[in-house]
Amino acid sequence: MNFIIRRLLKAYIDPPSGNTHPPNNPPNDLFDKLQDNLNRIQTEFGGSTDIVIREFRIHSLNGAKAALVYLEGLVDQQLISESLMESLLQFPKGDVSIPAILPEQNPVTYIKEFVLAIGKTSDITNFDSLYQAVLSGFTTLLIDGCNQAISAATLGGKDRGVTESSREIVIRGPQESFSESLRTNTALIRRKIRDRNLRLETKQIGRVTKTDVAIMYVNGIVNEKVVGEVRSRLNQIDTDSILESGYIEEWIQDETFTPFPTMFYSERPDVIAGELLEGKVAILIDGTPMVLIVPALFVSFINSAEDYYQRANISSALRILRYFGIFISFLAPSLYIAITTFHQEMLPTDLLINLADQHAGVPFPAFIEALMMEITFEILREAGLRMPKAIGQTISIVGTLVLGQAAVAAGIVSPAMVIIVSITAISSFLFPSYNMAIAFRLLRFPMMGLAASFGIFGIFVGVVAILFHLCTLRSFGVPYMSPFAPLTVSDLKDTIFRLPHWMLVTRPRSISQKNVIRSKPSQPEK
Amino acid sequence: MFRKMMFILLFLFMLLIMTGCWNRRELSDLAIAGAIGIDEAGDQVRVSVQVLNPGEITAKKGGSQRSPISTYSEQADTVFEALRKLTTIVPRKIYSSHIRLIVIGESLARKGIGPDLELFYRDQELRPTFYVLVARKTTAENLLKVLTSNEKIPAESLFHSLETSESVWAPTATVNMGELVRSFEGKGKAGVLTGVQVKGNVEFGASSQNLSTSSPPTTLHLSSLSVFRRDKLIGWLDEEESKGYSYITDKVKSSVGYVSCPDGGKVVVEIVRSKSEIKWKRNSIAIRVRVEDNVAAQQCKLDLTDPRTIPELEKKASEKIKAIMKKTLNEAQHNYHADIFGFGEAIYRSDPHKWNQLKQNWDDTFSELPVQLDVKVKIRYTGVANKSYLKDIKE
Repeated sequence: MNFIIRRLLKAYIDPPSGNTHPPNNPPNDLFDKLQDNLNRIQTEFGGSTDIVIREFRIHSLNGAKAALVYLEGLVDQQLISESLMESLLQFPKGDVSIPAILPEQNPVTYIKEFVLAIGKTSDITNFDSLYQAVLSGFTTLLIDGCNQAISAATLGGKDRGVTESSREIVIRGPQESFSESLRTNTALIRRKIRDRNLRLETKQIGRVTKTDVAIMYVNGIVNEKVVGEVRSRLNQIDTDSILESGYIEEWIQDETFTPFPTMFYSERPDVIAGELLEGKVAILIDGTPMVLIVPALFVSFINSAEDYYQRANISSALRILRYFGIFISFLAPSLYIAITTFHQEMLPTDLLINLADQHAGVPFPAFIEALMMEITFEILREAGLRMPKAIGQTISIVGTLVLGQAAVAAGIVSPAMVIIVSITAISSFLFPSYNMAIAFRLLRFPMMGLAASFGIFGIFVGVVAILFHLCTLRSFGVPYMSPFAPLTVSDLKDTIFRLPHWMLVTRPRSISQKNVIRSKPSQPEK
Repeated sequence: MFRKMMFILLFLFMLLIMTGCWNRRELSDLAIAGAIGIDEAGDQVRVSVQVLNPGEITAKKGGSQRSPISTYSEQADTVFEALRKLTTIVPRKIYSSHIRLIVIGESLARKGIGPDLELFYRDQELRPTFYVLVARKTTAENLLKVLTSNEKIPAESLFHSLETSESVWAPTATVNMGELVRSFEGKGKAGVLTGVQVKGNVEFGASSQNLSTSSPPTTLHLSSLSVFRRDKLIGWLDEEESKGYSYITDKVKSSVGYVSCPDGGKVVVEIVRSKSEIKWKRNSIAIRVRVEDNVAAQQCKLDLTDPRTIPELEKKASEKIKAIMKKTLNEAQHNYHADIFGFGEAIYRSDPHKWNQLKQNWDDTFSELPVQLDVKVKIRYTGVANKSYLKDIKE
């Protein structure tokens, strides 16, 4: 395996050094003359048409020339005209008590202190940070005769807004979901956890995309080692682009060659808030509504947000149903193959006769039959995902007719196999988490192969091998299968069952040992 | 790391190849056997297999004229050879996991069935849920040919009527392979097997015409029990004796009997519960039977509301059961000399040393063994009528 990887990466063993910019710009600092600065900006942006350079004179600076530089579409035009242009052009508004600029005074400080009517500003002294600011949606103010600039936070532009969650649906509970804007997302979490200990660290990753990536955690609950590990892993990323949380996930996950996800993601602020309060670390990436959570445990992929909102006994029953669903979606076709080709004695006689009759006209062995049907289903599923919504109807009609009836009528598959494939397909949608569902969906195929060659014995070998593998996995230092393996009895209260909230006294110990008491251990008054 | 991975893979692979039994068979390659019959054929054995035709059994509507079963027979030196030789007639391998019955021809049973049944005791493919029966006055082959109407599979039909009649009628007994083999050992319990008879013409019973009449002329009947010594059939109990056997060995779950009234006529009682215990009391066997009855019908002019009537009936009923049991005991002890009740086991359980002395000459000792019967019947309910309308019928 390692050998193959090395061969594949051979071309990149010595990565091209340096960054994407041509190295012919040694003077990075801003010039004194405005025109020089503007010329350089124009050239380095290559005359892109969305860059706006608005030149004007500032009355209060004795009519000094100045310019605003920003990218159209990334900024809030209204904010620029109201808070920047207006205050710069019309200052002073006949109020003489404001001191005029002194010759020795820095015009940048003066503008910031007396003129600009906008919240967040910062000083800029070189071109790199100027470009950075402009590209992030800031507006920069350059003044003639001054080698400093001011950048003002005028972020704006179109955002999808906070909409209803479409992938993680709950009946009871908040309906909002994250959007593509990092700031909106952090705000959504802040609104759930109003505590100054909710910490937010931001950095930019990606030489070209310069994507904002934020780490969020609750200080005092989180395990600092995990935070440190997240920080150092994020710092090690050296790539040109981060477009989605999946990029980050692949760069920093513990194990690549496993079908199981070792990082959890969600688009629901309530889920992320709940995980943060268990001492986990959230990684938010600008441009995607999917927020990553580490460390991820196997059990978190089976739990749904709604488990905590519904009555405890009902949630527990539903969780058991979900575990049963995993079993079916993972093993139902394999068991069918194994029992009908190896262990017919396990079937009740009447059922055996029934199955034998159904299979009588089918020209394929059960394994081929199952494989065909499962692959057909996967094709239908994938097609249904990718196709335009308007054609979705067609798929369901073709799918039902082809799979359900025509195949049986044509004697290609037996009706029992259609039942097996359908129940398998439906139960794989019991997973609240898509990436875990797909892991089991893919593992089903090797299991079918084992079942077809070695019967139930093969299934056992396969299941044991997968269990071993699951137990070797770790997510940011936390064993993936905890609290089952290693067993932490006190953490079992929120796994297959969910005990009532007043009994969930402690946070899961496997995540963090700090500040473990969540609530007072007492039963509510009757 | 790589070496470790290779080692693990090697061990996994070894696990796979070291399994003893595997047998990959598609459903459509199976000839599912419902019952296997064994007959003597000179020095050889004749094995008959009732193979199920799934298509005909599950046919929902219409259905063709094909029979739901096909019975194939072949003879060879041993049962297993004959079974394999059947592939010369049947296109598929006989799959015998699902057999419900093994039927033994009476003539073979009289010669001894031990050697021929060993295969079915040893083979791993069989589920040990089948019962063993004796084809009375006919061959197993004939018996397996007959079609039955309510259950499409004759083996299934016999299987179920055996279970039902054992629990609600009593003079039959279900015997599985394990019980039978223990009785072959001749220690402490001799075997009994229920007999099956074919009534009517076998050839007609084998054709689907048999099923197209409302009262099939050829039918299969469970008869009473046969008595074995070791693995040889030595005789038959009649129906009453079979019932007595069931009472003694605590096999009665429910049954029906009657008690004679003083003025002639009968009171029909349903036995709803029966419990019996065989105990070794120093030098004799004590059998304690407790029966609970309900009055099912009263065909005489007895007054059931009279408080003296019920104890009277109870006494008569227990005497009747006692008489049946005595008859069975007499037959077993003095006619067949076969301990079909398991008295030997009862002795062994309470006094193993005594059993060690007795077992040398057990058949003779058994015949001379004194037996005390203690039967008590309790009548619980008399149904929903108090006085019988028969009292008002003027003669």
